[in-house]
Amino acid sequence: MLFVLFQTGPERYAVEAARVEELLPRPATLRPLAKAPPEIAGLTDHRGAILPVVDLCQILLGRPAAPHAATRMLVVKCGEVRLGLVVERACETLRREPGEFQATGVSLPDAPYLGPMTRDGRGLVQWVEPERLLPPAVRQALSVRLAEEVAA
Amino acid sequence: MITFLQRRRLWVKLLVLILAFVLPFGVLGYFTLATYNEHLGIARLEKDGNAVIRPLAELAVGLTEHETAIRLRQPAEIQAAQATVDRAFSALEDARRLYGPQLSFTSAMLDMRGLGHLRPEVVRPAWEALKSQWAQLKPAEVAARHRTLGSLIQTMIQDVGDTSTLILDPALDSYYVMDLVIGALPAVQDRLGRLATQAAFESGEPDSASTVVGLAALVRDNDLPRIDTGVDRAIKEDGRNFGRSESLGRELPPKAATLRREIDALVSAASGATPARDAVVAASHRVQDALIKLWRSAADELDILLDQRSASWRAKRFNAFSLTGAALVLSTLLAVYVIRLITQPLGQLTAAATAAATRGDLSLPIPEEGPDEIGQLAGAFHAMTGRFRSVAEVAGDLADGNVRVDIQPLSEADEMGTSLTRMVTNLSEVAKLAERMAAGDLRVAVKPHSRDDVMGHALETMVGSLSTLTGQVQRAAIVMNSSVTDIAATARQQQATTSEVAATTTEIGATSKEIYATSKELLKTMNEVADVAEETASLATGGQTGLVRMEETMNLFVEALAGINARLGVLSEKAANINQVVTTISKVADLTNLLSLNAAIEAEKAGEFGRGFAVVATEIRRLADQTAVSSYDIEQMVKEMSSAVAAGVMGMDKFAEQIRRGVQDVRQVSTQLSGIIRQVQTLTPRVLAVNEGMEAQATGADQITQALSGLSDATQQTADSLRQSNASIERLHDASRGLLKSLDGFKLKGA
Repeated sequence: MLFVLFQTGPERYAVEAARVEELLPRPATLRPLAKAPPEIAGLTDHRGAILPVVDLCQILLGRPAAPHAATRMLVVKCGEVRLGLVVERACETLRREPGEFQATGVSLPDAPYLGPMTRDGRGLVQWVEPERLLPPAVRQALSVRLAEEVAA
Repeated sequence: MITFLQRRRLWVKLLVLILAFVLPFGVLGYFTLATYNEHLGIARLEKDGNAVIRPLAELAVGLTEHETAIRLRQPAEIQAAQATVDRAFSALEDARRLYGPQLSFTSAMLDMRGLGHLRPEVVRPAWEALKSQWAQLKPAEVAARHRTLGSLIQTMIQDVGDTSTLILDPALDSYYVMDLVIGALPAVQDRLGRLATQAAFESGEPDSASTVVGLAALVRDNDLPRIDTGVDRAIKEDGRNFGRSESLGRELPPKAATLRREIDALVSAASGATPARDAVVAASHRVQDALIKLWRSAADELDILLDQRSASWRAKRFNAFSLTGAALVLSTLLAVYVIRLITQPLGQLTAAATAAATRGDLSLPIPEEGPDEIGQLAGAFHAMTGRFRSVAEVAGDLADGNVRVDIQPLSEADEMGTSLTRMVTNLSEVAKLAERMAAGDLRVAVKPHSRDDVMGHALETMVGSLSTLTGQVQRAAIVMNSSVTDIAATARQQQATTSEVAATTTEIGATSKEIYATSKELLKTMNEVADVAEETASLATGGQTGLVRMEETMNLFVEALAGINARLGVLSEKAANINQVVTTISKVADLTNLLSLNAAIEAEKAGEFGRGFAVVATEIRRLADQTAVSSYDIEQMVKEMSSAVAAGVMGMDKFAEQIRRGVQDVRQVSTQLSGIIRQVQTLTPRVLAVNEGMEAQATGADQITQALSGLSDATQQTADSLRQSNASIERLHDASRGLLKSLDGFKLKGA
């Protein structure tokens, strides 16, 4: 399986390449949404469709993403909904089999997005599912449903 | 005059009295002296006359000789006689010149007195004419002329006798000699002259011999007795008048005897039956000779007698004058003594009375008591001063406070005694009152003697005031007692303060000494400062020139920096260009990376078909990454270079700025150095002034030290006096307690 690697701050995460529709430079301008939670950075135009953009740095670190050239936007599909995730240093890919990931042994109710960990030449990488990264309020606002919710 | 005398002092008055007695004595003395002088004048005049008569006698005898020689025709004898007459005339002229004015015998005086024919200018020419013409003249004419001249000489002798008062000679001895000189001897000469001429004519005239005998007898019988009597009388009277003349008896009698003898011989020679002419003439010659000798002797003796008389009168005058003077001096001394006897005690009395009256001084000496009026006055004055002294003693006792004195009035008229007695009585009463008051009894009643009794009134007031005062004093003493306690506390505090002051003064003294020492050191330092200032001035001058060179160098620096800055600007521009290229490369690399990622994602989605594509995508991504890394490196290098250049430019700018400031600073430093040089040059005199000030300060500090030493002493004295005052306060305390106790003894009317 191929994973796309990115960072929020120093922590490195991996997302399934199959889930990534496209990797784009961060949009120069975003249309801000009035009264929206700070995690929702705004709206942008993506190939003729309206795309909500979420800043993962804001969610995970409580600060906006740094304005580097390697700060990019991942376009992922969460069920029916497409989302733009702003991440830092999305410059590499990693090929790993699911069996190569190990459970952390730590289960936090407030951070359900944290999956098993693997390692590469530069350190530990955590596998995340994008929709689980979103807080419930954001999820609800963006009408994103988790797999178990869809099953129910 | 009377008023003048009244105003004079007593001794002046007495002196005037003495003068009043001296004055008539003076007048008397004057007249006595005048009489003596008159006698002396007469004697002198007589002597003058005698001096004139001498040449006249010679003249008379000479003329006779001359006539006789002419008769006998003897030329040698004529010459001798003429010489004799000429000498006599010369002597007469000399005598007339000397004594003529006194004897009225000058030509002018003879004219005035109607005796013009006796003038020398008449007589001398007559003789000169006879002398030169006798040979041509007849014998009768010669005889007549000789007779005329002879009678003129006789007249002169008589006249001189009159004017010289010889004729009035007052003394008998000189009177008889005078009679010889101007009376008897001229008469004898007159007769003998005729006798001689007769004797010479004897041969021609028969009666001549009898005439000669007659004349000789006349002389012998008439004139010789007169001469003898005169000589005898003169000798007899001599010694009764003005002293004895030894020569009188020795000279005159033998010469008179010779004359008599010669005349006797002439008579006997001429009396014969046939008298020999030559013998008669010779006898006549001898007679003439004896006559002139006697005449000369008589004149000499007269002079001696007159001199004796003058000496005698002079001695008398001297005696009278000296005796009168001595008597006057003696009487004046006596008078002065008497005046002193009167005025001295009076003066003493006056001085004592004046001292007693004006200064109240009774101690001046008073003359002794005596029997005369002044002595009585002195006795009375003694008594009076004794009375004054006893009164003064009483008053002194009263003044000393002794009222138990014994004084009684001398009589009812003794006002002083009466008053003093009353005073003693009154004072005794007052003393008794005072004694009671002294015992503390203030309840006494005082009655003034009269309205003018100041002491009585005062005593009354005093008793009242004392009562009041004693009350007040009692209250005041209580207050005082407490005040004294307070004062004692204050004094103790003051003593402590004084001790502190003394300590402080000592410290100040030490400090002042340090100041003195420091001033001395400062003085030394100031001298070093002056030296350093001079060195500084020279160094500053050197520094100024160095600064000028430095300024020039810095200006060059600034120019060079401007060039460097321009180069750096160019470099900066180039770096910016590189940056643009690198940015473009970076963007391309970024986009390439993105593209390769998307390609990898798409290849994954393509599964087995995408495998080769995935490899290509990976390769592309690696290239892109390398490009990105390289471009990043270039970017970093360019950035570093740019920032280095910018820093360089900034540094250059700062450097240039600093240099510009440095130039300004250098200029400023240069001007400041000039100022420093000036200041340093003016520093030396100031240092001198400071030196003087320092010396003054040192002296001042020394003086302060001395003054402080004085102050320390003063403080010490203050401390001592405070200790004394403490003791005094203690005594005062005791005194106030004693006062309170003693005030309890007073008994007041109200209480």
